[in-house]
Amino acid sequence: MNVLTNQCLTASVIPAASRALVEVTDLRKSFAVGRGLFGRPRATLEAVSGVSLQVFPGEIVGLVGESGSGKTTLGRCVLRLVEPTAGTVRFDGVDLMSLTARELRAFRKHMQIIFQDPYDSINERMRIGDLVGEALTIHRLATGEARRGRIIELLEQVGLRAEFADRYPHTLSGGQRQRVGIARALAGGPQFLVADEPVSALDLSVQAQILNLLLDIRDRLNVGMLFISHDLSVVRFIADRVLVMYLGKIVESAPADALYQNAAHPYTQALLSAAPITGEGRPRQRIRLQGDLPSPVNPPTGCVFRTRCPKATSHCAAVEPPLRAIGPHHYAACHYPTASH
Amino acid sequence: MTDRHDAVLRVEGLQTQFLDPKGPVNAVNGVSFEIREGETLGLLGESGSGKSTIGLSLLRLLPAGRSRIAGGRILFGDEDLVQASEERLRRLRGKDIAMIFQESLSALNPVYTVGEQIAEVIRQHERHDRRAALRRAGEILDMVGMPDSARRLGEYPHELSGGMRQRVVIAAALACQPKLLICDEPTTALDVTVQAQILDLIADIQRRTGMAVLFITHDLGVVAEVAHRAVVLYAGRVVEEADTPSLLRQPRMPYTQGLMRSLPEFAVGRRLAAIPGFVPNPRSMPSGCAFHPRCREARADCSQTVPDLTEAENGRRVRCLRWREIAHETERRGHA
Repeated sequence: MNVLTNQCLTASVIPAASRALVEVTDLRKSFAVGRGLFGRPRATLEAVSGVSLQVFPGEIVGLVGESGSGKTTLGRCVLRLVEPTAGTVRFDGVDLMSLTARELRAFRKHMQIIFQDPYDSINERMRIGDLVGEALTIHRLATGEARRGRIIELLEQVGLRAEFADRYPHTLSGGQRQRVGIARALAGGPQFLVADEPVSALDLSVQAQILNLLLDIRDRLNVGMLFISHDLSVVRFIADRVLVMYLGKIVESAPADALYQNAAHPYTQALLSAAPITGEGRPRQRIRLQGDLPSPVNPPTGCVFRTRCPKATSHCAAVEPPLRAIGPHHYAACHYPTASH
Repeated sequence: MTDRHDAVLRVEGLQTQFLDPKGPVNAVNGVSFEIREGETLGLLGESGSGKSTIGLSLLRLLPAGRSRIAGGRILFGDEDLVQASEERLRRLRGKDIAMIFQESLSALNPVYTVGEQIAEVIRQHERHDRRAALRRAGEILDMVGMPDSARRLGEYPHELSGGMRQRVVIAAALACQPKLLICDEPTTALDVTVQAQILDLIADIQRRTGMAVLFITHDLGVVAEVAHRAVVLYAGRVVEEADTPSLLRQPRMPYTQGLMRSLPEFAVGRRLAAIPGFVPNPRSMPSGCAFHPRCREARADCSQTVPDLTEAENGRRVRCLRWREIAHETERRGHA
């Protein structure tokens, strides 16, 4: 099944000649939960269970899922910010799992993360310029005048004037903060970015500015990006290819337009029909899911989605559906996918 | 405008200030709107628009000493809530007017069971003994579609998922069949599939009870889904009001137009037509129209004159000096 999964997620949307920048194979991450009397874990929770994916240079791969889907854990495991339990991540041919802590630290300049609120993780008492320049110092990329020049270049790259270098974080608006977060991520000259809900905390008018900025950065620097979001309309806009995650697994994968026009997995269909739509004219078939996400400590047998799925049969409880091709570059993990190609 | 008699709530020229050592700041600056029985009014705004402050002002729940209602009237029926006594407000809150917030967990007391909390609301306003109130709590949980409601009555808030907790909060809000429900971003912290359930639930209860709903949100999609009519706020003022379909089809105020263009679903090509800049600080409001520094339609006089909220067709209201010109231009471009 692993072999099948890997083939499935090889994005042939991208010319076959180019090589994947990031290649994730059968990644797993479990956490021990609820420790008992002698510190023995009572149960394990598999947040990511056997995910394979690829990101090509200059490609934006959208990762969509609701809370508890494992999308954030997956994003961090791909960068080894969280240590995966099993599986491999190859970055430009380098096996990330084989790197020592020290090697990994040096390697970080190639791959960075953009957080929802960059201010959760930074020192409020540092000036913007020093925050942006931190990576330059850590990786010994520039000092003195060169460092100052590079900081200003980075600020300009994210649409902030040079004078911001001397300001403090609390004087910035939400959108400006996220620009600083992006400038920090770009400082080491990365080839790959994980953007974890980068616009979720922003007002609509500012969200649009930041989405445009991320597209500009991709075009200018040809970085690959894993764009994690719960917002389907944002992902449709920005991503070239979209992965839909549910309870630790990828349940559907397709080029963005194909996914939104011909969703094959009942979960993707339910997600699309639940998202409020502002536009008119699209006749909407409402699919209302009952209940909440099942506990990942005790996931359903067979298909993970079957407990909320309107199409589920006894077969779905018995056999887990593999991710398989249902159209050009379009894969779904469902025994009864909607055929539309 | 509607007949004043069928308005459940009429807000006239509401002005709410934040008090701060440097002097009062207008967070809400002369806001007027009304809501009829059985109607959902969307109050749409980004951060700093004053939308949540309006919600808190209506029930006089503003933090004491830090903000105050400086002017205007809040007519609930014939009664002006701005003048009402604290005692009178206590009786109204939770009974005739209920409010639900974004963070359901903070609205629930962690040491009481779900059943006890809903029963408590009922017993504050209606004569019921404990057992009868608990029975009624169970009925209300059924009404809000809580699966396995009998068992849930005995559970504590932390044992429930986010969606379930928001159902409990809604159940407590609806326990005394309010005439007006104020919802402040009640689904913002929820997943879309759960959000859809909660929005359906509020609409369903409204159909059955005829309550009026004020739905405060930053989300155009949510307004499209739930609101019959919508009021758009910018920097503490109403900048546009219209029935929802008209607002979405033909926004008149350049700010509303900009919001629509910022929606990823309406992207033309590979970039969004974002609104430049950000919401002004209430302490240093731009002169003239508060939106003019970000407005692509702005002319010289927009920085001089504060535009009035003018009546447009079909009971619409627009605050823009140039709205007629812009509407004509848009129409011409549409025909070309």
